Amino acid sequence: MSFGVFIARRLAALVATLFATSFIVYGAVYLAPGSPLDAVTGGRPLPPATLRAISHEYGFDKPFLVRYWDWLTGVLHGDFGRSIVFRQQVSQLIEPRIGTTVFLVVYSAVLILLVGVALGVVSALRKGHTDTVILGATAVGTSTPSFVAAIVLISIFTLQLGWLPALGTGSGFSDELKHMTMPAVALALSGVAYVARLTRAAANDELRREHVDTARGRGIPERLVIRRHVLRNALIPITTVAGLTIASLIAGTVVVENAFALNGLGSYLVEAVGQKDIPVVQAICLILVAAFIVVNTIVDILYAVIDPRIEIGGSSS
Amino acid sequence: MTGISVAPAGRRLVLTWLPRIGAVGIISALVIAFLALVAIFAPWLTPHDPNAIDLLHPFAAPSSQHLLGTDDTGRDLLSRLIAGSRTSLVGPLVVVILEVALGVPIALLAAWRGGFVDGCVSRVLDVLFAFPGILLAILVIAFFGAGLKSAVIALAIAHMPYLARVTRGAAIRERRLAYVQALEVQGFSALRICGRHIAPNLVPLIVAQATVSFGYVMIDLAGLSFLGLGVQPPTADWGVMVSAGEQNILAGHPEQSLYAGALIVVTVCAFTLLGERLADRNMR
Repeated sequence: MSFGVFIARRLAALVATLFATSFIVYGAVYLAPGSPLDAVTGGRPLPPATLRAISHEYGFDKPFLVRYWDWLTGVLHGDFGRSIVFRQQVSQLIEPRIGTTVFLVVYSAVLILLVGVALGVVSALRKGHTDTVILGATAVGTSTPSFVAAIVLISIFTLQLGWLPALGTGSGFSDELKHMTMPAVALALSGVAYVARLTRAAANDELRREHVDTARGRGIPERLVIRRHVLRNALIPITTVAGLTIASLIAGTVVVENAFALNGLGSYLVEAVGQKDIPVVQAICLILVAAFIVVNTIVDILYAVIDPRIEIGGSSS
Repeated sequence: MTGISVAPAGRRLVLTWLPRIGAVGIISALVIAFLALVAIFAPWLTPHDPNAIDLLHPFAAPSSQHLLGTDDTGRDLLSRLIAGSRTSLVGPLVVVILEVALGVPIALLAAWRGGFVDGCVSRVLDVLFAFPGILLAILVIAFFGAGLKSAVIALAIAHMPYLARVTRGAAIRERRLAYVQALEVQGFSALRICGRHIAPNLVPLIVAQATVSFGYVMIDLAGLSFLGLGVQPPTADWGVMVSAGEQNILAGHPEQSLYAGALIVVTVCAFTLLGERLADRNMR
């Protein structure tokens, strides 16, 4: 199968998955006990005229599939409906918060790629004490939830040292960077530890290979052997795992933004759940899930591109 | 490995497992056993009533009276940590049991029938994979209301695909073995072959997967409680305690959050390490 067909099939799978998940996000409201109107109004006592207006706005007088289709086509045009609580377009409410969440995810992703891979390489090349310490620290790191990392960081860097602000987003790039450092570290921590462990394993695998011995036997300097023969080959599994780890950061923002009182999509999602503002909940869930699926697909394609041994179109599943 | 494997008797199973999980595995298992005992006997172990408020002694320093001190309303921290072990461990346990109850039959069905049924199951699992666990849980909680019950059900659905996918793969390999064909030829029913022969041989794999899953579920469940969407205060729970203590960190009292957070990390670490050792053991 040619590369073009492979890409086309991956994109088709992407669209199908997005379609199915959008159906779950929209359809979930009908699993709730009581009528969907109750779910949308959150059981608030409202005058009948308002109820009729809401009922009409949300199309409860139409069949389910028609409503779903209307919602989906609206979403594709950037229209997520109106917030129950603020009586405002959901897209207007969400838009100013997207930047914070993207900043957080990108910052964490950079930390994972730089620190995670570096720790893993050091661990693989420095046998003995250094390796043991990194291995132990990363075992604890992978088991540390982001909100626990958050309180530890705040206790140390805000309470004890007074170096970094604990809460809020900040204004201007350098101030924002300062405010976002602890959230990004908290969000990235388990990913950094996981990628470090994987990098260590991948580099160790390569170090045992015959081509590395051959290169050394030919008198190639150790530095070049490590760079060209060990790291370059180890990069293939690292890219996949790092990519998937970065994708999982997207859902992780929900917890971290709350721990640090950041004004992003994740903290708004939890706020909207509390307010029973269903259109907002649906919109943010859909955006986060869609971002997760898209990043996963990109990683999938990237993996096929960088690994020449992958037989494209080989049986999946 | 020989083609025909016979599930060993329970006692032998434990005896052959122990030495092979290594020192780390044994220590992890002991930590888990200790935490389980604390959770079981929690009502008899708490030195104070975990919910008894003493407004005259908020943020008390550790003393012989309060070994770990008190929280902002004067409740004994040690007692709350011990009492909290119950909800914090039972929640993930129920999730994992539901995962196995849902995932294993689905995996066996897909592996046994193959073809169209397998295709359908795989697609459904793919879609569930596309949902990060905590997002699915938040979506369910938005409609069913906050609480441990909604969180547990949602996380069981969200984490089940991982278990189902691994079990399905192993069941497909098992199905190709000669003894399964021999049983089929002898006219045993599919239900009997799956339930009495294939499933028992998959038990070590399922146990390893469930153990690893416990750690991940605990992170998600404690995270939901931290967000105020899972276990509700004043019930003592480690996730709730991290969240409740967060407000007091900047006032100089990070103890509650740190103790509860440390217990979560230790528990997750023990389950993850033990699960990895058990999974490695299966590989050999």
